[in-house]
Amino acid sequence: MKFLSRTEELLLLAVWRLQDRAYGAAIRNYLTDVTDYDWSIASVYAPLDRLAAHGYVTSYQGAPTPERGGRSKRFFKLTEAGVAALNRVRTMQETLWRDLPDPGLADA
Amino acid sequence: MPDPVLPMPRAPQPPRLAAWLFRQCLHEVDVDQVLGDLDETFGYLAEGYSPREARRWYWSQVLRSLPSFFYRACFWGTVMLKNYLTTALRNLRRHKGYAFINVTGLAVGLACCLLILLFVQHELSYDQYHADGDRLFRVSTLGRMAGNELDLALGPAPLGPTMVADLPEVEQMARFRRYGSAFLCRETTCFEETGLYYADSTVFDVLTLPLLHGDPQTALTQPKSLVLTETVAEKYFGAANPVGQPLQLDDEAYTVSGVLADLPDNTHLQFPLLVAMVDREESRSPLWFNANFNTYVRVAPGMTAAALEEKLRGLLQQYGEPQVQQYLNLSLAEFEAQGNAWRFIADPLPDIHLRGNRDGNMAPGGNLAYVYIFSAVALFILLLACINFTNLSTARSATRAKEVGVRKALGSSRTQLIRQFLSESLLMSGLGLGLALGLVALLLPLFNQLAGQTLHFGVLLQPAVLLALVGFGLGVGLLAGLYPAFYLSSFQPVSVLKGRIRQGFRASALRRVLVVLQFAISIVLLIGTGVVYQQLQFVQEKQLGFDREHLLVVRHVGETGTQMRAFKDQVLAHPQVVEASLVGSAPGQNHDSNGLLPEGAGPGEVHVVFTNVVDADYIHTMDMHVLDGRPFDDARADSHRVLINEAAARYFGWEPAQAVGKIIRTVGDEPTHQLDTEVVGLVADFNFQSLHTAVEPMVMWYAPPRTNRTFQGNRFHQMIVRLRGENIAATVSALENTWATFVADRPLDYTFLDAQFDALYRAEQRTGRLFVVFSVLAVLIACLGLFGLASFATEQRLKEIGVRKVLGASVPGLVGLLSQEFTKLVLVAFALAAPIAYFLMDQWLADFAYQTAMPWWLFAAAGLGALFIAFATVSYRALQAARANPVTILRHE
Repeated sequence: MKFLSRTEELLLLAVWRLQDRAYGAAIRNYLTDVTDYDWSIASVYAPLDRLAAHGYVTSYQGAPTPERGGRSKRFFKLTEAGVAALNRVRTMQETLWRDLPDPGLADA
Repeated sequence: MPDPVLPMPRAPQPPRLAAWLFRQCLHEVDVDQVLGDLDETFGYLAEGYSPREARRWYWSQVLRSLPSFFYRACFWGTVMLKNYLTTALRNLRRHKGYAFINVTGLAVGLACCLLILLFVQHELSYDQYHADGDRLFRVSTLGRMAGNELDLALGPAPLGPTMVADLPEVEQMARFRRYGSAFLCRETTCFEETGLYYADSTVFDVLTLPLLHGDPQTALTQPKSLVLTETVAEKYFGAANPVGQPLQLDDEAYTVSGVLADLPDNTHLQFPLLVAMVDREESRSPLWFNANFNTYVRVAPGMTAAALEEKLRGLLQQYGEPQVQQYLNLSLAEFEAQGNAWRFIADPLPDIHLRGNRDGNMAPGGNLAYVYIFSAVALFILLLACINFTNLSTARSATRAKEVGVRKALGSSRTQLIRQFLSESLLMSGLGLGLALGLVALLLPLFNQLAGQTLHFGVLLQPAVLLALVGFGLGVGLLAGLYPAFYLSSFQPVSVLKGRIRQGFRASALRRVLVVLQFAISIVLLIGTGVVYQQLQFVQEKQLGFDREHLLVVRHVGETGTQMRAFKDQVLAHPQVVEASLVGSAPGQNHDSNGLLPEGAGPGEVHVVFTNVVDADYIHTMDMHVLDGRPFDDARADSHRVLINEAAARYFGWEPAQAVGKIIRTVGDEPTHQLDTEVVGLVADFNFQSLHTAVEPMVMWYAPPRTNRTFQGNRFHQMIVRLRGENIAATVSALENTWATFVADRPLDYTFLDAQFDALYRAEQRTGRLFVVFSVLAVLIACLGLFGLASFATEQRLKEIGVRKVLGASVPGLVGLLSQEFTKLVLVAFALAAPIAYFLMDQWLADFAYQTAMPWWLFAAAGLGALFIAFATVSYRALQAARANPVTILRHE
């Protein structure tokens, strides 16, 4: 069973969160705000391309808008497989966190 | 009143260069969307922070993206490259004839270039291998004595030792002194060795001369010791170590004290063996104005040639001046004021081969001008080969235009097409390079033989050289492929597919100029070849002042010792022998020269002339002409009498008619050598040297029958025998038998005089052969260029030809029409080439004192030859076009 990487998880969550506004610059901005880390455009596109190849997201071309020099946007959208992959990660995480004992650091 | 319209502050723009760079790297459909994202974020950052910050961010984004894009570009690059190569190979296979011509043309040009590069590299590599080479100098002498210019690779005997003793900057010195040739024997095994040298025991310290056997410290320190080179040692001793073994050098007992590794080709030090210098009394001579020693020194680091020469001036002042005082009663300044000169110069060792070619060099030097000329020729040939390659490629534009159209219609970008064409030319240049290397490997022995060189193919196989060659091949491919690639890829698919090839590229001026240039060079070379052979022919047929046919020269006749006259009588007894004469040197060989005081000259006015010693039969044997007086006669006491030639009479300032009876005084170190001799006969001028020089003054001494030597000690060394000219082989073997009864341990050593004379022109024969090779190459290259141009022009006029044919033009008429233009070009080339060839060959002939005329028919023949070759080349393409069915040509209209 192969799990998503943390970057892929973050990207898929960002696409989910942004819904109809999930295109490169917006995803980058959102992730930069949330993670407090300066994401490069390449570090957004490269994993998204990989996810698209796995079938977790699809992309479609939007209409050109004037604020970007008349260039069109490329929007991303989750697929069922993408949602399923996120759910698998989430279930695993919750299982791992559930009923953890005291780390035993106070004694030391 | 309306509000004034305030200009909106211009929104900050993302850096354009970065965007451009980004676009270059990313060949994907969504590059616009990614750029859009970048621009949007840029605007957001510029507003939120500062435009400067935003710009910095933009740049960092682009730069950080580069590596991954680069990787992807590489991946697709290799995929495409494979595709390009496959297509290129298919193209070559489909057009085999064209590919063959183009690759061969390039290969021949490259091979030529490589051969020349090998030659140039070899010339430049001379004496580069000596340890501390930058501190090694040869001390040479420039002088002027009684009007004679001296340019000697030699120094006086005391120079070397004095330098080491007096100059702290000079660490060590070593001298060589020519020994000449000698017979070297191990018991009864004898060979004649030539070019022997005496050498100081320090040679192994100063120069890099590695000993295989023996101790470099002690070899050559003992009297009568020898150091052999490896080859010579093997000849006498096989594989055994010969150190300590006895050898006889000219009948004296010597001991081998070392074996020297064979000398490489690229050194001016050439000798078969060295003799210990201590055996040469002259090496301890104190005379500063007598240069006979090749003197090499190693100086302290940092010492320059100029500084060394300055020190040498001081030494000459200190030691040379007293000798001038003693012998001439002059101070050095007065000596120089009389028009004399004597100074020493320091030749850096690696420069000797090309720049230090002086008299008395240990090996004939190279010619710096040749290195320059050949480098230029190599560059030129390469350029021509590249241009022809380009020409041939563009010439096929009509055929390829459709391909380009289809490719473009199917979505090829121009970049891809350019790459496609470049791959093709790179493939061809690669093939050409491979073929060129093969050609060089194949032709190198032939080239070595023709050019008298010893070049090695191995030089080309060193990794660094191979790498350079591959780079070279790539460079040529790119250079030659660039123009066709850009030109062909620029076609518009629509017009090309409609059958309209772009108008207005008839044979351009550049192409015509090139063809004219190439043919001009070919014609110059053809004329040059003709003149060289004409001159060689002339030289062989020129009347020399004696009959050179059927003259046999027996060398080392001194071996017969006191039996010399008896040997001569036996030779004369042979029915096939007409005459025989004992001489010091035969025409065509080196002659001695002596200083003489002729009657009428003032005291001290020494005249230097060539001298020879001959017996009474000389004039008769050689069939020379005595103008006045008489030949020598054994019946008279002629030992103090001389024969002179006309040139000598003129040189002495005498009326030739009054020369007989005049007195010539000999000059020598000892008073017994200063004797008066009387001229008994005047001989018509005869050429005893190569025809490069006019007849020089010559004085012939007589040696009486009993002593076999002149009063000055000059001896007979050879015998000239005139044969009847029938059964020469049988006669020679009879002479060999006669010789064997006199000299048991050495075979008869003989040459024919005419062969010996021909050998004087070996350099010219070599030039002649090189001329032939280069003419063939030049003609070949010119034909390729012309072929390209003709194909191109014919291709352009296909439709015209079709129309003309339909209207009733004949095939010969069409061929004539198509060839007309090229005939004009070749005629222009001829008009250019003829005066240049005349001028150049005039210069070349100026080297000869006796020159052939340059006949007009030679020029005509070269011009007609070039015209014929050009016509044959062009008519091949023209015939092809003229014989084609006009329907196939005009169908597309």
